[in-house]
Amino acid sequence: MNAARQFEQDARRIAVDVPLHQVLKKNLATYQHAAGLGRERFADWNAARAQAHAVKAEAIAHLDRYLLEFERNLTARGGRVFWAETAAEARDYILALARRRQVRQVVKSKSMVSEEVHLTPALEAAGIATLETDLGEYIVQLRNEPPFHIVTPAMHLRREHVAALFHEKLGLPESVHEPEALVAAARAEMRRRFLAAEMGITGANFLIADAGLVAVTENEGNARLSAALPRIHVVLTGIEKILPRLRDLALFWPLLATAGTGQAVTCYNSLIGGPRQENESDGPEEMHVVLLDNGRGELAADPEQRDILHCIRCGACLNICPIFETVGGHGYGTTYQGPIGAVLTPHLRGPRFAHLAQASSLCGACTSVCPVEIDLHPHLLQLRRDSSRRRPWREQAAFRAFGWLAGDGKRFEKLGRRGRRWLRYAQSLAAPSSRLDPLRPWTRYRAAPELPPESFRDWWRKRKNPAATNDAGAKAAHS
Amino acid sequence: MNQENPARERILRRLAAALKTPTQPPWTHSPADAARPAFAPLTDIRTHFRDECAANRTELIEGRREELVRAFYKLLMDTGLAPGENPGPGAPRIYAQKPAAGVEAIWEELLRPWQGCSDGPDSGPPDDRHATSLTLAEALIARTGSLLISTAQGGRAASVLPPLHIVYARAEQIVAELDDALARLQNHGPTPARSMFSLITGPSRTADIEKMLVLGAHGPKRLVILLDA
Amino acid sequence: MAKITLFIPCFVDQIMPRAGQAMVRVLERLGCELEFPEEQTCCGQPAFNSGFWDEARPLAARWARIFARAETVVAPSGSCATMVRHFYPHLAGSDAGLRRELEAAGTRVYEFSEFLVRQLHIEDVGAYFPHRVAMHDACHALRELGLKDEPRRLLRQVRGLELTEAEDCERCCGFGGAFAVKYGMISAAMGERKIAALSQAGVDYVTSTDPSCLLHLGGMLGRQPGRVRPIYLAEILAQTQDGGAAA
Repeated sequence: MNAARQFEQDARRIAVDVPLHQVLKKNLATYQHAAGLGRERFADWNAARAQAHAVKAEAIAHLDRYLLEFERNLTARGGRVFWAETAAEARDYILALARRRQVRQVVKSKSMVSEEVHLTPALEAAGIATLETDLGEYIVQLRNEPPFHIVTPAMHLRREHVAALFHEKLGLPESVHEPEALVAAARAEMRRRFLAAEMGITGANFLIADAGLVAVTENEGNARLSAALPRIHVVLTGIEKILPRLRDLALFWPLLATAGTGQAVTCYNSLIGGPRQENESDGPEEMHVVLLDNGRGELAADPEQRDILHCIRCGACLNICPIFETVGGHGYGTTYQGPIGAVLTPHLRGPRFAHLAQASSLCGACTSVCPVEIDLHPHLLQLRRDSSRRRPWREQAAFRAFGWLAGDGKRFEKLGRRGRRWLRYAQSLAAPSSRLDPLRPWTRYRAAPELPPESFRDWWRKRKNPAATNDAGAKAAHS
Repeated sequence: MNQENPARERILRRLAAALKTPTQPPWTHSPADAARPAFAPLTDIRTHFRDECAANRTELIEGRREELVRAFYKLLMDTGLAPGENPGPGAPRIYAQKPAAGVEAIWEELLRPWQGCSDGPDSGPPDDRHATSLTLAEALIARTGSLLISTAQGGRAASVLPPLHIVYARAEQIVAELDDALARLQNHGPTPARSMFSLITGPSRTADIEKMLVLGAHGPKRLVILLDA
Repeated sequence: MAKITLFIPCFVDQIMPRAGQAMVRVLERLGCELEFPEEQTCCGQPAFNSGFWDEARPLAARWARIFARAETVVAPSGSCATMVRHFYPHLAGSDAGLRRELEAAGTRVYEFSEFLVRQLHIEDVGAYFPHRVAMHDACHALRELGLKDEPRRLLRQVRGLELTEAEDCERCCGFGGAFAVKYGMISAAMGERKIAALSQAGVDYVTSTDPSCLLHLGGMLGRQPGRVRPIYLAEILAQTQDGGAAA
């Protein structure tokens, strides 16, 4: 089934999933409360957004130069950088490395890029046990599901779901429902795996050019363990994650945390710049950074939508989006959900995901919360423009006809009057939302509007010149 | 390396060509003046640090040296992590980083109960048997109630592996802003020599189940700072 | 008083003339002199929002021509005012002449509540409406025009009116033009949530700066039991104690 049809079908099902909506409403309300308090910690949240926008704009405008600077500084400490043009290249590099080093177990901390390149299935297929160690990711991995949300992978689940899952998969007693106990069980299970793994894979939130450091933001400590215990550390990330200067983090760490969870900063913000150094007591023997392009370079070539590359994956646009809350993260059928997913995915995976830009009321809530001021809803409009000539011929013809109709005042008036009369007549014959109802796409979910016999202009004319005629139709016919 | 990785040149070439066209002005503009500071300056750094620690669940113990030493013993006794009379192989172990210059005296005092124990204190790479770690910090940050550590503070694992992480720090290590701490990392040039740093803000946590806060997800459940006033 | 040129959106003209009529009554009561250029049709927003910019462009140019000499343009819709004020220039593409024309067109256009409060500095229009009312913030008026307090200030001065804030009043109602029919199931789910919040707030009426939201919410309310009814802002402000809402 094509992606657009699949989306429609899933949306129809999920839009009426009341239990899911209840979970989302509660979780999102908790987030909004925390994020609101978090923004108040700033003297001027909008000034912070404007500054962040400027920093990212500079980073992206000179992306090639900053990437080279990052590479030079990281390799000076013995880190290795691999550039991957496609998802397959990134996967193959990591797979070949794992095989070469006889890796049998991998621990992974959260990385949306690894979802983007489908890394875990590739490693598993090669017989390498791969464990997601972020608790939310771990839960969805056990359920054999993709993450529901780029920041909160298990946002769609209640504790009862997790309890049942842990009972089944970890043999926890059925009665254990408290988050505290569930977390402890997962911790114990995963700790064993951390100590045994030969390779740790993390994502990156920022790549710091001037310092040659990879910045990883988290709360749990699993990314720190992934970069500390196994003998090989692999970072898999997108080329757009560059920040020019280490000190930019003084803004971006609090900004990301506030927009992501409402925290002042997250619990752990680590900077990793290579394998264990000579004077250091522990750490991996090797560190590899895989820089993924996968369509980002082409997006950089679009001077209108280039700012999509500013995204710091905080999830704020998902959390405020009424579409996200209605169709859920899984409804999108993409790695990146919500408004950022709708604007990014067509660039990464082609025009077959153009329908996501259509599935929006253009309310603009996303744009108003984006901490790096991405023009999200304008990009939805631009993507609709870009796909307009690929839309069904009926739709194209309808808008051409509309353009013609509205191109002349008298024509508009005359055909408007006839149209209303005809629709009233049709409504008197066909039951609302029946197959014969010409307004069915509207009346399927709503009552039909009552169509007035008199338009505004009829009324205006009559009022200004009551003597002329009471029959606006007759007047129009004469003119 | 370029032969091994032909994509590198292709990606860089594509970017260079792509970025020749200047970015179009955005449709939406923030009403804000970007020149305004994002944060208001802190008036009382010490108090702010204290409040932020409380907010992020860092246990802050302030006092003079002897008070800190007493508090440290009490903490370990209370949690059953102090060495007993005859600590056997199963007894709780402590990891302590090698003391840096200037803290040898207090280090010796803090670790006195372990002197002569067969099981510790250890300063090699920590492992899962360590119930506690004792480290120093590079800096403390008032704005967020954080501490900044590097691999100089016991490497990568010491501050994240054990369930209890205890940090000894001096009050003059507190800086106001994240920016002050980051600038310090670049004191000797833009590229720091260490391979890892971590800004730690409270004990490890998760809210992945119904957005409910649980401490001790993968890292320490408790983070204690002994602040030498 | 100000001389005003009326910008009546096509859907108001054809489907909800009462919204435009109510605005006319309020402005006249305040002593404004009104004109209505009868050649006006549609600003082009439906085509623009659906991505058909080539079809929208001539409509935008046409609108700019028709309103070229107007001093002050007032519209009973935050969305259509936004189209002209914020989105028109983007339709011009590389045509600098057209861009100038379209940029000029937007500078004198105001949404109704914005015009009353920010331009005329009037909050009390002498209205009477003894009901519990909740304000739904229409997206364009709220986020593109920055109108949050303006409609509320007007409502607070209405005799007898009890202004209530419903939960999530800034959340989109789910209309979104063609979206409402293209993804009707999502649109309806968003509307349901809005209606649930309004019902919980126990209001008699929901009002807004945009009649298009009310067209959608009204259609949904029409299918279910409950007492919440939609009413456009100007329709409230047009009501007076002596029954001044009659034509």
